[in-house]
Amino acid sequence: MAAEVSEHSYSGQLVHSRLLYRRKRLYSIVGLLLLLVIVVGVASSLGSASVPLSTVWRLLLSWLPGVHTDSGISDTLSTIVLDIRLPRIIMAGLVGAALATAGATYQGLFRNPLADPYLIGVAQGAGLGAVVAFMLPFSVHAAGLSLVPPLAFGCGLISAGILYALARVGKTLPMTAVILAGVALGAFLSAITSFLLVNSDNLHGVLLWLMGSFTMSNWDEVHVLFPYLLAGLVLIYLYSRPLNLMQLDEEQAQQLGVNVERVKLILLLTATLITAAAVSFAGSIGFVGLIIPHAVRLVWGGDYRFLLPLSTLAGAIFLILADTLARTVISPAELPVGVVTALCGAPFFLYLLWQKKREVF
Amino acid sequence: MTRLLGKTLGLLVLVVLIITSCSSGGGSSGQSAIELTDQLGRVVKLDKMPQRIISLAPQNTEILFALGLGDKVVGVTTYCNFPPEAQEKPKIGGFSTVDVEKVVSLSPDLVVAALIHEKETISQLESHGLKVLALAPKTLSEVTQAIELVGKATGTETQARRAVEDMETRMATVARLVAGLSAEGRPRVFYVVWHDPLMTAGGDTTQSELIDLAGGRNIFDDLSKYPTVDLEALLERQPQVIIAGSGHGSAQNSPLEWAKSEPRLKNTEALIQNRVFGIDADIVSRAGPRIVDGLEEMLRLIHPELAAKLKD
Amino acid sequence: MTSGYLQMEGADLGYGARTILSNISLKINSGQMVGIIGPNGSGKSTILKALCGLLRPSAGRVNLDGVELAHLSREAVARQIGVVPQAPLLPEGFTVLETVLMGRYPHLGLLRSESKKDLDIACRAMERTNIQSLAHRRVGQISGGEKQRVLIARVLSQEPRFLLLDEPTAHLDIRHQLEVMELVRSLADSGLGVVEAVHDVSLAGRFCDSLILLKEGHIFKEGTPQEVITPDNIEQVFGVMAMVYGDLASGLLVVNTSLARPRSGDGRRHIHVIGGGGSAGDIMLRLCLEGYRLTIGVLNQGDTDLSTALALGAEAIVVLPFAKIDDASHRHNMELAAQADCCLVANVPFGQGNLLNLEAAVAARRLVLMDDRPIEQRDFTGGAATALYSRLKAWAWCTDTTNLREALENALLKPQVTNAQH
Repeated sequence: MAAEVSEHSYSGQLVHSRLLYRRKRLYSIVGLLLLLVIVVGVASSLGSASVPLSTVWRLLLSWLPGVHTDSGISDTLSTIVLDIRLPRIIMAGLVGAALATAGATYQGLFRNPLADPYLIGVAQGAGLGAVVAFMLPFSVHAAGLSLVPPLAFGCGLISAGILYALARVGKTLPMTAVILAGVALGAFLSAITSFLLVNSDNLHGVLLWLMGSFTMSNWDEVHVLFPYLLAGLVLIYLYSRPLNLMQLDEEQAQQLGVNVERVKLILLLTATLITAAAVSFAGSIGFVGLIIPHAVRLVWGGDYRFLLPLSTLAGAIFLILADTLARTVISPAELPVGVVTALCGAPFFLYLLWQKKREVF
Repeated sequence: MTRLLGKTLGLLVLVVLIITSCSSGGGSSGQSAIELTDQLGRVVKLDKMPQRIISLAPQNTEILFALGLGDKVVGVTTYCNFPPEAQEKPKIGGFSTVDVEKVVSLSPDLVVAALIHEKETISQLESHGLKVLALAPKTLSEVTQAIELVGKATGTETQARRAVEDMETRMATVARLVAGLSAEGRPRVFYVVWHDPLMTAGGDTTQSELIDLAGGRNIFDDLSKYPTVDLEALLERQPQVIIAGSGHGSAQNSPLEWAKSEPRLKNTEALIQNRVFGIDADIVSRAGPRIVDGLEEMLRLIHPELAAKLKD
Repeated sequence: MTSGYLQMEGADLGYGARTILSNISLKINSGQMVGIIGPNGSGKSTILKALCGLLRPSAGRVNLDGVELAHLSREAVARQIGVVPQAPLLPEGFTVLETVLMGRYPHLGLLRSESKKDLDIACRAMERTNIQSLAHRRVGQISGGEKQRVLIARVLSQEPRFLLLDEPTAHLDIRHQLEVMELVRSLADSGLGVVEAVHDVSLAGRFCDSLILLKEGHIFKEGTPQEVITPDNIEQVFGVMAMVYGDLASGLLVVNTSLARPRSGDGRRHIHVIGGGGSAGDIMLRLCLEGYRLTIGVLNQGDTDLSTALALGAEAIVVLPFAKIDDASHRHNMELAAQADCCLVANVPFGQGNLLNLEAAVAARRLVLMDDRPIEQRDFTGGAATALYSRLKAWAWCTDTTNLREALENALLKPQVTNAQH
């Protein structure tokens, strides 16, 4: 900055660049939102049953109130697009959104780029709950909604409670203690789950569920998950500025006016709950929570006010695409969606390492 | 003098010959050694009739008991639940998790294995000097061959023959009943192995073969083994009959209950015609003597009108 | 800026069960700059943590304009009190502007987003600290000194009324140290109340209005820099022998000379030095290191021996430059010569102006005369000094600088000489 530039115009320049920065990111959010809608549309037209594109669009449009474009379409096709594909796509989107946002939140809370939603053992708890539900001697299906999600979620909550009790020190929650306790808890719960699985008769089915799938997603599940996820996301977004400040150490954040213990508790709890919910419905789908926030960070930077909503959208788009791939690639058979995300995730991770190691090492 | 010596020598040689020819038979029943080729192409030599037999698969257990060898069975898997007496026998592990030490400690003279044991378990057992007979039938006709093989190995050929003849008669009856069906007369059948995720039986499975023999068409016979399938593919293939294998152990009836209550199936012919049934998964998946029970049950479910003509 | 005060009353501070500081009371008013000095581990950072509410005192309290900090929310405190911590973690991905803007959080809270006004404030803060050219650079790419200025800019954009700094100059070079201290001083002058933990005592003495010297968990001394920074205090708290020079240009300058600690207390032997004109400087330092208590007289203001004496904390009799020695001073000189365990006359030249000093030596109980340069060469009194000198030589020890210690010890062993024997 040349010294001759007057104070007024220098500050004006800064204001301008700042506004530009904000505007670019807001546009990106809108852009991703549009992309999401397009992806949903595209995914709806793909599947093992061949449904003509025009039929798909007529069915989708018929959702709008007052639009009746769906006359003459057979019940089967209607069921396929609107009751099988669409809820499945939306579930994949919701779960992707939940995992990516939770992952970004954890990475911010723990100030560690390797943090992901499965770090602290709650997902393993949910998995255990699901396995137990599968092994129950009575029917696991009631009124369209299986018992698996509530049981899985309940176990997830209990794990979170145990974790909190283990890790807290007086009124504070040191993050290192959370990681240590969480990893130990997760390993323990995984071990129990494996033990139960080996002794079960339906090893194959349960294993596939654990690997993550959206095969049987239906509208009831969407109706349960959506408002819950929305509430969780809004709460997390609310705390995005304190999360920025917590990238400094906790002391500085406190000195800048952040009530660090409250923020930690709220963010940890909310991110954990949406993870548990996602896992309860869909099993453990890896890499989404870890990779998406990094990808977003690479493009748009690490400001959590934008990183969080962008991760939400990118996560939804990614998982929808992954699930679409999983169900079309060896159609009519399916790949577990966790396999697809891992296949995409591992190379991406290596790419990240390749980039970063130049800078760091 | 020399003539006396010669006679004595000749007598001695004769005696020796008789004695040796007597003892070369071996075993209490004096049977000579058997050499068999099992269904994995392995050559198995048994020099006496097995008295202590271990089964490494539920279907093998059923075969052994069906041949009356129940009291010679000294070890079974944890999944061997038929006949009920089998459950009392000592356990040597699960289906794929065989406890080799336990097997060896029971000193069997014959171990009856399955396809899954081909890679490692069989060679491990043989390294301990055990005799292993492997059964790996893929079609119903190979099942009968398996039964005969066991009969040969255990000296129960007559029982084996009887069992096989019975099976073949019943199979022939069913074949006769469905012979006259036209293509339209063979309903489209969907077999549910598990419901979440949705798993079915591909064209190379026993369940698929049974459906075919029972006068139906497995809508997923283009796939192989036990794949996870998309619900929309199921709808697209318009099933007319849905048969759910009863879940193993706990969660017995989950697949059936799902099939009956899943709202997205309500417009399928199967649901509209109320042709949704459960079947004991064991009798349609185990390549043993009860497979024909499975066949007849399939017929009852798919073509009740034909099954009425079955003699029990 | 409204005036007010930040006060700690009778606080006990510690971590967990360990109490580090007891009964600490201090008060910072707006516009005042207070420095906290003391050895490492004496609790400087702890006091600052308590002053901004991060640490609760186990006894006593901290209040801001009379309101206890514990009753205020984190945000309310952050609006009033800004902290520049010591070498804190600064995430590398954020730009300088973004880091400085973080200081606006206590005014914005969760929901409001940055407005032009906030950006203006951040801007001005960056200009004040001269980092405006770095606005869009990532923090990971700037130097240590620049990072320090970013921290100060951030705290400035908080617009606090009180500023707490924890050893802000610890890792900086001389130029940057002065820049920071001058900046902070100007902030205090413009109305902020400043508390700084400083590790360089000279800097603290130069810039702060008042100082608090900590030792082993207590306040050892508080007051103006002149009151607090004395050789005696420094020796007692830091365990080093120091010379403190009052310097017009750079304020109080502390020169730490030696780890040797003079024997303290009344057991020390008292040597009264007759010197002047720079002749006694080295000797005084040596004697001080050996553990003697020194007095010197009579000196003119501006004499380097006087600076040395003051630096060593030795009592000196002073008259105006170039003035004659007055009666009172001469009498005092004689008293000290008589009181001392030994009197020492350095290689000082004598003229009419300071001949009285030599006469004062007559009153001594024991006397050592230094003669590296013979008196004849130092006599500018036309012989009077030489005559007096010879009389003194009769009962005094003569020595040169190299044998001074021996001579002194011998002299001190011998019984004193009464006046009658002179």
